Amino acid sequence: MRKTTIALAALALAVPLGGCVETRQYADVQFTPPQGQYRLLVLRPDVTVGSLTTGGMVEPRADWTEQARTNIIAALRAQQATRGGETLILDRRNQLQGVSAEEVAEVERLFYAVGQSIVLHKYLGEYLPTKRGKGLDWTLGQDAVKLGQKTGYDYALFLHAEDQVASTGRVALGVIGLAGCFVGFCAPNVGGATQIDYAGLVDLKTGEVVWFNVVRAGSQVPGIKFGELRTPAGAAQMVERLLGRMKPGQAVRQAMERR
Amino acid sequence: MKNFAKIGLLAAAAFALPACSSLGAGESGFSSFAAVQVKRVSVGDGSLSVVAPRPWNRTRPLGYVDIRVVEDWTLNGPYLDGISFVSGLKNDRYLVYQRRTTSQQVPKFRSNMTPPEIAAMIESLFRVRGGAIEYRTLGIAPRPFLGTNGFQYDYEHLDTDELWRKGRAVGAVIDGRLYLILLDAARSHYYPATLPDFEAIVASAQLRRG
Repeated sequence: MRKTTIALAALALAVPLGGCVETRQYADVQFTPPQGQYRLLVLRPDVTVGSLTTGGMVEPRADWTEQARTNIIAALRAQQATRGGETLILDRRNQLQGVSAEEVAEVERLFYAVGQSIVLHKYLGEYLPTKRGKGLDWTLGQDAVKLGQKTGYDYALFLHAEDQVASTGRVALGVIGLAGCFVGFCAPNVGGATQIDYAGLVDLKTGEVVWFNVVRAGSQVPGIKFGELRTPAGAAQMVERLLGRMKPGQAVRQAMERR
Repeated sequence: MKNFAKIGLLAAAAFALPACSSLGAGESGFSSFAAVQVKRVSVGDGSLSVVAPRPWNRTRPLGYVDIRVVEDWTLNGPYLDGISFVSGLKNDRYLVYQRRTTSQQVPKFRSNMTPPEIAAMIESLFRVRGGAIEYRTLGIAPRPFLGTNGFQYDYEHLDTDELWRKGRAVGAVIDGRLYLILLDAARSHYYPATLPDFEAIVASAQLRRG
């Protein structure tokens, strides 16, 4: 009983140290968050949810992924309803009149490569000297402009989410790692689940990526969660973290401060 | 071309970060990329020099997997665009570093290769090392390069990220060595956006005298 109490106390102490939620956004220097009667097109969220196995491998789960995507779309609808703009959220690629599913897929795939590039070169320290300190300097080019012309939308929002759910075995191994010194050996602590989400806003008049945000939520203790996309509450939390506080670009902020 | 290894390493580093250590270094610290200014610069082992029409980013050498005569540049990041320079690959050498035990090998360059054979070597590079799932040759034609009879090779490929990429290689075999400049970029926007730079770089290319 005493050992259990000590283990739980250690677990409780480890929780604040064992994980966190981080977010960092970049914007085009001249970016002003959309206001008033803007028309926003939200592309089908690119979602992957997997099980973090005892050995630390991630096994993608189609059923969890579909569940998470449904929750995210519902959370996006609820969040955008409070924003005032006219929003269409796609859950299929063939929903846009006059635009083929393949055209939508091409834009999605290009954004995915652009998004990966932004994460790599703006967040992970692999900066490109030609783009350093210049806000966001990526584009989807004419494909995005054509999408805007055909649909009449002002902006397109792309969302990517990856979530790992720690399996029972992984949680058990984590508990042994925490409590191992009390039961005769010190098992190494093992990492818990990680959620990485990013979103990008594209101006459909120019094709430019004007705003980008990354959220990383992770715990070093399996079983301790910082939001789970399989639940409506977790999806709503993620959408709020990602899109809740869109900041203007550097030049716009400086102009606001001078007033 | 070394970018195949580099992208893998960078991706591994990104996902190997301990939970919430940080979102990364942002734009501080040491990057794998260095600036290329608008002036004549030597590329590869220094036997080829070019002038870019605007600043680009060159990939720093990666040590043991580095091929000395190969250098990679990018404007928007290697997922989106890249220019590779081959500055005199010798007979019986590889374009990329690979272990002898690797089951699928990119063939060696041979001095007597014809342009279609060099094109096939480039195709195998993208299929074996780049993971291309579909590949199309768009054309091979004679083209002057470095003051001699060279060739131009156009191609496109679909990669595992489901994105089509398009490429153009301009090269020549001089004194038994391969000199080549190759553009490879996302077919949508990034290829047409970087093609004028590529053409200017090819037109500016010079061999080192002596």
